[in-house]
Formats: sequence, structure tokens, C-alpha cells
Amino acid sequence: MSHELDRLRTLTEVRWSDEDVAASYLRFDRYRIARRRRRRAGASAVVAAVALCAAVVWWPRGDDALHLKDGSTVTWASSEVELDVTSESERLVEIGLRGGAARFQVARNAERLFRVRSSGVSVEVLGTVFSVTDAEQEVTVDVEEGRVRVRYDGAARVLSAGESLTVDVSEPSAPVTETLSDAFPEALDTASGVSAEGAGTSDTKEGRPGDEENAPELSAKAAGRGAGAAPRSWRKAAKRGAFEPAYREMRKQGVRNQAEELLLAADVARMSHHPKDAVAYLRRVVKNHRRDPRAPLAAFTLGKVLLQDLGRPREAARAFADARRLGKGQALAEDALAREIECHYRAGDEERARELADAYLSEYPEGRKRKWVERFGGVSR
Amino acid sequence: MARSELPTLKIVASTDEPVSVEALYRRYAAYVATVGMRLLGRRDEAEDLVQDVFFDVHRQLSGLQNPAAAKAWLRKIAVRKSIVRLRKRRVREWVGLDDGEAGEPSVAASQDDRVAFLQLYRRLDRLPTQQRVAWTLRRLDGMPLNDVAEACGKSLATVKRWISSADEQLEELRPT
Repeated sequence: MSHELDRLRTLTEVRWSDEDVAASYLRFDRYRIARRRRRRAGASAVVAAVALCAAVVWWPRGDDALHLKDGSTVTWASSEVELDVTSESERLVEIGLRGGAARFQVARNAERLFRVRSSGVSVEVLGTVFSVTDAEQEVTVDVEEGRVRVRYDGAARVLSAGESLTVDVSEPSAPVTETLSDAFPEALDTASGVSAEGAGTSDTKEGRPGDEENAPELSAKAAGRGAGAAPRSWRKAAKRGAFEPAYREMRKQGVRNQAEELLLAADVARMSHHPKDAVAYLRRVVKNHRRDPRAPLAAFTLGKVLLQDLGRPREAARAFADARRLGKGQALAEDALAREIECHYRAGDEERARELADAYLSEYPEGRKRKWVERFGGVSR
Repeated sequence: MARSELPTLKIVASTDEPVSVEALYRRYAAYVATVGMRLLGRRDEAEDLVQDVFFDVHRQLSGLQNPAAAKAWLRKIAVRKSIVRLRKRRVREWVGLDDGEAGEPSVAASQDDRVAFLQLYRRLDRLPTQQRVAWTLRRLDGMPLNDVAEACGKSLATVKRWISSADEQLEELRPT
């Protein structure tokens, strides 16, 4: 047990570089300010409740919601949020946001453009859930579901579920930094209007299967070779838990097409907040190394990343189904089935979720995930 | 803001200078995250725990009389908040709002290590919360018994009894 505990001690140690600590402190500082503002909301809400005009400008008070004619909803949790509905027609809904953070649940409509403007940053969507935070010197956009296009100062970037973008608006032409997503593209989007991005079909909402925009290529030097390949310092960094530097080195040094290395690369990508890269590596394991004993776990992890990090439940369901096939007879198969049920529920396929839930309850009548399955499968016994 | 522009945190140069939240964060955030990771078994929750702990630190910093005791103080806050999280998790799991799935190791791990990690945390999930916490601090974190008692806010005799009971139960729950 002593040796086992030593190993577990290593596995549970969190090692942060100075950079990790600084990034964590930034998040803490925002969190601290947001919590302090919520506590002050009670005192300022009475003053802020004075309406300025015939309800074009909203001064929200605490937890509240704005329901728009197109079925979209805007919510916020701070009295410092100021919303200005500048347009509400069949073709265009446009809202200005000043101060604080608001969450937008946009009803899907291919014929209607939904736009949020905040300090010169424009967010354009067609059916999605995202948040915009206006914090004096910067505007942050976080996407929970679907895709949005963010425009600022002549440049544009499309964000998918799980990604966020922070724009420094303190100066003109200030740089845009993605806090969680991949490299900012060089090309500017000069279209005067907005194309029907992500409208209507489930494929475009979730992204086409395998559509990892920045999926890393295997290093030409490293692919298929053993001795003589570039130094693999990123592996050591990963095993120390230094995932950010490991990721940077990994992108330079490349990843060999071996199950162990691909799995390690996927871990590095996930832990350094690059879920799309992780998906690409995991897919390679599942596709190219199906007989490897780690393939079921790779498929399971793929499902988790697709569901939790990227908000693509249909693809995740396929991954969990694959994990069940590959891991038949293993404990993981039960968990994979439970997750698959959840994915179908989240994708709106309730009938399929129910079928699978019945199958789970038959196969695992005393299963550990019973409550979870009953919830998402809409069944109870 | 590009990563290269992240602010440099202030460092407390000596114990004669007043302690700042930033200095404590820089010195102890990873430690608090480790305590959280060991107690909770989920990295994302451990990172949330760090934010929660330092929010309390920010509010209560004036109460820290002895800067040399900062680590023990932070640990006590982390343990208290982890117990609350574990109890809430249990309720959420019971009503089907938490999938009860253990997280993953905080470093890249082999399949065998992942399995060992999952098996341990599944067994820990079956223990009463305070026993689990005492056991984790003593056996996994390697903390001296007196420190475990202080962190848990209980007597030495009580934590010894909890740890012993947890040892037995974990052994019984060990997969064959």
C-alpha cells in the first residue's frame, strides 16, 4: 500500500508554473470583483431602478431576465448591467451592453441576425448561448453552445462552444487574445453582412464530425520514427504536470503515431485548455489503434471532451457508443452507456435516450449510475 | 491581454513586510490546489476551491496574526470548504444531479495509474465525509497527525479513530 500511496500522491499533486499561477490569479481577481459587485447590488438596486425613458434602456435589478419577441432571453445577475435594445425586428435584433455581464440565450432563426454590441466589440449569432462581460478595459465573450462571430476593429473570429475571447478595448487596434481557444487567424473578415453561420442544421450547430479547425498535424520528422526523432522534452514536462509549456513544445516537436504518445498528447492538450487538439489525438487512437487496450478509454475520454468541453453531444454519443463496443465487458462500458444516454438527451433525442436508459436498467439493475440514467432517460423503476 | 503581459505578482521580501493576498496566492495557490485535488479527486473542483479559499483570505487577511502560520491557516480553510463541497456532491449525486464520476490525475498518467486513481476515489466516495478527509490528509497528503487534527478542527483521538476506521473500510472495499 505504501508504494501505491506514493504513486497516488504524485498523481494528485498540482504543479503550477509561474505563468499558471499568474493566470489563476487573474481569474481570481475577476471573481473577487464580481462577487463584491453582487454584494453591493442590494444597496444600489433601489437607485438604479429609476427608469430613464419608455423602457428602451433597461436598468436591471439583481437576478432578472429580458424576454425578446423572437424567443431569445437575456439574463444578468448584477445591477451594474445596462442593456439598450436598439433594434427588434424580424430581420435584426440588436442590443447594446454597457458594464457588467449578461448571458444571451438566442432562439434559432436563420432569417434573423442577433447582434450584441459592447464597447466597439460586436458579437453576431444565430441560435446559441453565450455571455458577454464588459469590464472597463476589456470585453470577454464566452460561448456555451453553438457558434458566434466576434468582430472588433476590422478583424473577426468565430468562436465555438467552450471557447472564449477577451478583447482589450482600452486603445484602438488593441490586440485580441483568446484565453481558451486556438491561434487568432491572420485574415480579416471583410464581409459587410453576416452569413447564416451555424443556422438550422444540427451538423453546423455542432460542427461536422472531424471538423477540428486547428487539428495538429503529425510532425513530419516524428511520424513513424523512433530513434533519431526530435528531443521529446514535452513528455517530461507533461509528466511533471507542466501542461502549458508541454503543449508549446509538443506543437514544435510533434507527436508520433503511437497510442501511448497520442494519449499523452491528448492529456496535454486537454489540461492546457486546447480541447479541439485533444479530440484530434484521441480520434487517432480510436481509429488507428483499435486493438490497443487503451482504445476504450480513449473513446470514452473523446466523448467527455466532445460533450463537456466542446458542447457537441451527438458526436459525443457516437464516441461513447464506440467506447462501449471497444470496452465490452469492462466497467467502463457501464459508464459509457450512462454518458451516451445523457448525450442523446442533451441533443434532443429523448426517444433514443429512453431506449438506452431501459437497456441500462435491464443490464445494470443495481448500477452506480442509476439515478443519473433515470434522470436523463426519463424513466424510473 | 497576451500571456507575456500577465502582471508580475508582488513578492513579500521578508517576514517583516506586511503580507499581501497576491504574495500568499503566489506562494500557496498550487499547494491549496493540491490539497483540494487530493480531497475532492477532481481537478476542476480543486481549481474552483482555490478561488473560494483566497476569496476568504482576501476578506479575513487582517485576522492573520502570524504570517508564518499562513500555510496552516490556508489548509484549514481549504479543508473546511472541501468538506462542504463533498457533502453537497453527495446530495447532488443522490438526486441524480451529479454523475458521481471521479476526475482524473492532475498529471499525465498511464492507464494503470488512471485505474488506480479511479479505484481509490470510488472507494473514498463510500466513506463518511470526515473520515475520508482525515484519511486523505494523513495517508495521501502525508500530514502529521497533529496537523490533521488542527485542519479538521477535531481532537487527536478523534482523527486517529477516523483514520483507523477508514483504513479498514478501504481495505474491505479494495477490488479483488
